[in-house]
Parts: sequence; C-alpha cells; structure tokens
Amino acid sequence: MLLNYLKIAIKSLLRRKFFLAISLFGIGFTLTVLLVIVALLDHVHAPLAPEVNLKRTLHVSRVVFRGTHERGVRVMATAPGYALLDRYARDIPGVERMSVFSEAATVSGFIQGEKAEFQRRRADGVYWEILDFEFLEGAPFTRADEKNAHFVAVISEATRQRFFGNEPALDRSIEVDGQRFRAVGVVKDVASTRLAATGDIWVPLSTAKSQEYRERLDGGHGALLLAASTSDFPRIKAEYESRLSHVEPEPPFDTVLGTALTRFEETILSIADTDDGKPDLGKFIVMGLGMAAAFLLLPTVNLVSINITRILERSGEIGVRKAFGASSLHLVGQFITENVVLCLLGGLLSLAGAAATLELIEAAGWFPHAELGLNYRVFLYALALACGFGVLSGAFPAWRMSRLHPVAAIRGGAR
Amino acid sequence: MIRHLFKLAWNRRRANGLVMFELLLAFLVLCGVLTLTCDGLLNWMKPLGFDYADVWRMDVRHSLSVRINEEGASEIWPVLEQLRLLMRDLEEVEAFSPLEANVPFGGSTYGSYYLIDGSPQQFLHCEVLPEAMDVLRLDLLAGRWLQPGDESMNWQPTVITRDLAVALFGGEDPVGQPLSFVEDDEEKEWRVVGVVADYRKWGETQAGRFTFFVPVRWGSGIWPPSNYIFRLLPGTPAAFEEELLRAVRGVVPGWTVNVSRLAIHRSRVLRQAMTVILISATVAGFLILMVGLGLTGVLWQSVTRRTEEMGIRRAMGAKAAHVRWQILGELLALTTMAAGIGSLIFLQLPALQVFGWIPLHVYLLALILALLVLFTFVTVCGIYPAWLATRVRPAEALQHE
Repeated sequence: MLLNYLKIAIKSLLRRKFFLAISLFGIGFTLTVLLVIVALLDHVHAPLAPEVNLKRTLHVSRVVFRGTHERGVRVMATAPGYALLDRYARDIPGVERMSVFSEAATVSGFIQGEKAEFQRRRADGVYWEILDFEFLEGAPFTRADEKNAHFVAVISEATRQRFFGNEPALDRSIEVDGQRFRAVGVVKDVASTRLAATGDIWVPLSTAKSQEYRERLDGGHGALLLAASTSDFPRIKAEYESRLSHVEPEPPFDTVLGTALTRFEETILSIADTDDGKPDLGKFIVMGLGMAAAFLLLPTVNLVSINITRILERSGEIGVRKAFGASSLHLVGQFITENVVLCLLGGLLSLAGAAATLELIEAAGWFPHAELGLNYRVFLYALALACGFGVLSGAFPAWRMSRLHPVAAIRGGAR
Repeated sequence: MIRHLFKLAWNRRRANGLVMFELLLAFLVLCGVLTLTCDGLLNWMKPLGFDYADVWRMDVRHSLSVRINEEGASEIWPVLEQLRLLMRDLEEVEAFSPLEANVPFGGSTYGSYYLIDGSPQQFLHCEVLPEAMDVLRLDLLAGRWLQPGDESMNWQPTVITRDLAVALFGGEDPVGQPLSFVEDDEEKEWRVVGVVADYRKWGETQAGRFTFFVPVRWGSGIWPPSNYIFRLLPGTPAAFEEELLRAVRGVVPGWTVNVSRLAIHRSRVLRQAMTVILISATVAGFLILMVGLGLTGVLWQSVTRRTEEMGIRRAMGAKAAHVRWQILGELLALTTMAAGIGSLIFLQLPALQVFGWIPLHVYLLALILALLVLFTFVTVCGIYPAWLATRVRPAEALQHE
C-alpha cells in the first residue's frame, strides 16, 4: 500500500516539474534555516572536549541579589562571587568534585611592542580534573600551585603561536595584564561555545592582583559541580538553594536567589530571562514555539497553497478513486504520504544548505575555534523536522481534497 | 472596470483566500526588513555629533558593586584622583573624563526611565567632568557646557541633547528650564544650562537616545566610576599605549586596567549592525522569492483551469490584451486588499510605540517602499501566467469538456 502511494507520489511529482522545483525550493530553504539553528543548539549542548562530563555537570553561573525597600524592589543579576561559591557551594552531598574559577576576562599583553588581547581565566586545580583539555605540551597547574600562588599558566595553542611562533612554550614566560607567568602547559584551542572552558590563558585563582575577591559574594566567578550521576541533580540543587537562603548580603540587598544549572537550563535562561535566576521551562516553550511559529507561518501557507493547486489538478484521479470506494481517510493518508516524501526530498537539500551555511558561519568567525557541522543527531532532527513540516503543510490540503464530491471531482473539481 | 476586478477576485475568495494571506504575510516581512534598513540608512546620513578619532576608553575594575556604601567608596576615590592627576599630567593626553557605562560604541548603558507624554522613555545619565567636552567634541547648539564648580551648586546644572530638548520643550528655548520630573537622590532641582547634538552612543546606524550630561560628584558619591574616556594628541605613536598602561598600573596596582581605541569598538558595532541587517535581508529575500515562485505556480494553474472562461471571452471578441489585463488586474486587486490590511497592521507599530526610538517617518518610508516592491514583484510574477491565458484558442477552449 505504502509502496503504491510512493510510486504514485513520485510519478505525480515528476509530472509537473515546475511545481516540484518551487516546492523543493521553499521546503529546502525553510528546513535549512531550522537545521542551522538546531545544529548550533546541538553543538552547544553536546559533551564535546573539554566538557566531556557535561551531562553530569551543574554550572553555577548566575545569582540574583534582591532587596526590597519602600520605593520598590532592587534586583541585580550577576555571576556569583568567589566567597559565595566557596562558602555555600562546597561539599554538597552527591557532588564528586567541585571547581571554582573566574569568568574569562579580556586582558592585554604586549608582544614586541604590539598590543594583543587575550581571554584570561583564573581557576583552581580541580578545574583540570572536571574538564578534559587536550595537552599538546606539559601539564595543567595543580591544587598545590593554586594554594601557593605560583605564577604559572596554561596557554592555548593560538596563544603560543602569538607569543612564540611555532616554537615550544614550556617554561618560557609570558606577560599579560602586567603580570608575568611561566607556561607549564599548552592546550588545544577551545571553542567559544564551551562556556565554562573557553579561554586563551588559564592561571591560578590565587594569583589575582588583590585577594579582595575572596570576600565578595557577587561577580566574576563560576563553579562546576560534577555529580556522580544525573539522578543526584535535584538533591544537589535543593541543597544549594536552601544554603543560598541563609546568605546575608550587604544592603541594599536582603535575599540571594539562584540555582545550579545544566547546560540546557543555561540556554533556557539566556533566551527567557527570569528574575529569580531559575529557569522557567514554560516561558521558554511559549517563547520558542512563538518564534518558530512566526517563522514557519509564511513557508507553511506558501506550501499549502501550492499543494491545494497541485491537488485540484488531480481532481479527476481523486474522483475515480472515490467512485471506486476509497474512503476519505485513505485519500488523506495518500496525500500526506506524498507531501512527506516531498518534504524528505527538501530535507535532503536542506542538509546540504545547512552544511554550507555552517561552513559560512565558521568562516565568518562568529564562534572562534568552534568546529560546526552536521552529525547523526542533526540528521535525525532533519528527518523529524521534514516529516513534521510535511504533515503540517499536507493536512489542510488533504482534508480539502477528501471533501470533494466524487461527481464534481471527476468533472474537474469545485471552483 | 476596477470594481469589476475586485468583484471577480471576491467571487473566487475561497481559492484566493490563501494567496491573499500569503501576500499579506510577505508584505509584513517586507515592511519589517525595510524599516530596519531605512532606519540604519537614514541615521547613517546624519552627522555623528561627536568625534571619536584619537579617542580611547579606559576601563578599570575596582570591583565594588555589592559594597555600595560610603566606606567602600572612600577607599577607591583617592586612587581615582591619582589616576586623574596622572592623566592630566601626561603630555600625550589632551583630556580625560569619566563616563560611566555610556562610553560611545560600548555595550552597556547607565540611565533611567521617565515618562514623556505618558510613554516610558530611556534616558542616559552621563556623569562627566567638564573635560569631557574636549574629549568628545560634542556640538554645542545652545547655552553653555558644564564648568568647574557646577557640581557644588544647590541646583543641578544639566546639559541635554537636542532630541530631548525638542521632546520636552518643543520650540521654546530650553536653556534655563527646570527638569522637574527627574528624581534626584539629594532632592536637587535639575535645570537645563545647554543643549548639545543628539548623543548617538551606538554609532552611525542608530538614532540618539535622550541624554543628560551632569557633573560627576568627583571624590564623593558611592559609585566611583569605572569607565573613562580620553583623547590623545593626533599622531601619538602606537607604542604609547604600552607606556600608558605601565604608568596607569603604577597608580592603581591592585586593579585590572584596559585601554582601547574607540575606532575599534566602532567597527565592531558597525559589523554587528550590518550582520543583523544582512541576515534578516537574506532570510526575507528568500521568503519573498519563495512566495513569488509559489504565486506564479498557483496563477499558472488557475489560468489553465479557467480555459473555458478565457475562451468565451475571446470568442465574444475580447482582445488578448484585455484577457491579459484581467488576469493581472485580478491579481493586483488581491494584492491591494492584502496590502491594505497589512498596512493597517504594520502601522500599529508606531501607533503603539513598540520600537519607541524609530521615528514615524521611517515607518512611512518603509511602508511606501514595501508597497512599491510588493506591487512590482507581484506584477512580475503575474506576467507569465497572464501571457499564458492569451494563448487559449477560443474554439479549443469551448470544446474543453
């Protein structure tokens, strides 16, 4: 049965090559746009090196300070400070390892009188145990280095290139932001999409110019909590949140809110912001669906009207089938199958389109060092998107067709 | 004739409904993209209002945001004063001033919202030293700029931008007028002393924002600024940057300091603006092309299905041109209906002030351009199907069944 539908589908599609071409153009373009978005999201959420433990890691990257006074509520959303993480996020049951590190900050250094800018991150020793960097030279700095404030640095391949050309960097010194460090390791470049890992230069937290950061509750830092398994996440979050409720920030603030986030929840928060630092899945779904619907509306209407035209042309065939007793359901099924086949063809085109677009995005350098591309997951998404779009744009024309009166249909359909 | 065309289009409303809806959506997409583009282009043609060549920004991180209290600030201010003296004495530096968060081409803003004519508007607060004028070289249009001693008056001397002066006082002379709506922490009254050109913080592609320039309370105040601007003498060698950073770090040893040329930030901001316009124009272009191709297909099909009708018309003596005009006319009647509804929807944007900073004439310009593009485009799509309709031979058409 399905085979027959497919045969008819291909035959009838080939009969009108112009319609085939315009349908494929529309479907291909629409699915390309969706696929590029899906591929970017997939890239951000995939456990790519160095974030190999991403699936069982929670990231504390945001807190909200809130103060209520007579004139209203004052809200400050920011990265957590070292003191907050050190005092309230350590030794949570269920957490195997915990690392505190600074956000990447832009710092400048001078290479032969020329200014160069780098993303510098300060981190503790555990950082290298949770994230799995690929070392080209040397090794990471250790917990002891951090404890004793050794001025040592891990640098990226690109940083080595800028300072020393192609020569090895081990034990040579670099100067950034007015501080001199000895290079102990060189890692492969990290994509800017690896939120907790990206950077050019990593140095121990304790080498900060002033130790003031140890006392601050807000700003500039983040923590990774490596859980034994994802089933511990709710327990860990609840414990961290209950600890936050005991924090007493300085005036004008009186409450600290927030939670530990999975990567997906971080994405949700960055799209649909909330004022308590916790992700709101409902709001995200409404916003996401709203945006998707706004984009899909025009392509869908376009395809629907082409489909209706295509169907009316075949009203003779429909009339005959009806006269010989095919039920409406059969006809609807047939037409939707046809449309899904068409959309799958468009889906194939869109895979090529998306690959080319991702290549362009990579070349434009929007996400430095990120290797974007298609993989089997994106392929499966493409399959699902194509089928979904096929059903969506095929259902209404199919329903219209199934309601044609057989006699009228044989004679050329309703006007 | 025209009424007749509308009637024909209306009689086929079931078949035409989808096409019309499609045209309506395409029209709205066109309006959106053209508004974005026109806004950028019109702004681009206006003078910038300040001079960014040889101007740099300096960012110091004295890390104070949660300790906003006087004790914390009192440790910071003496260091900042040393920084100011250093910058004043450096030969290469022409002028130096704080400009918290509102540095040109920067990402952040500092300001507040006040109601103007009942709708909330964003206001930028630029707290500066009088030297800021020598750094930015703003065009002074009326009154005077800020001067030393302004910060210690019992009222707050304020310089406002031209757009704000127009919005608040219309044609009246703004100098000397009180700004009674401003909420001041110290209950001072704000009064206009001068007017400068629109402050276009985001560069050439965007309009200015309502801006106040007020004297910074240098040495007191619980928010010591962390963003500064300064102007170097023209022709200062690039190597001076390293020298400057070393000197500054000598004064503020515990803090992280960065300096960068405004021109670099400008090119980044422009690149971003261009990227947004390019991406939306590309997507919109493809969408419109898709609609166009679909429309051609649908028309073609509808023409072949109306063979009899065309045949009868031809048999009754209608010329080929008449038939052609009928097809095109019906299409244009549909387009007119879609564009009419679309315009009504689109004009809700300025009416509801959804994007308050885009002036009405930009919307109108975009609307006119969108109408032009839509009608031209639809006509192009209709030419081939219309020509096809004239190829019907009356005799064949009448025998069609």
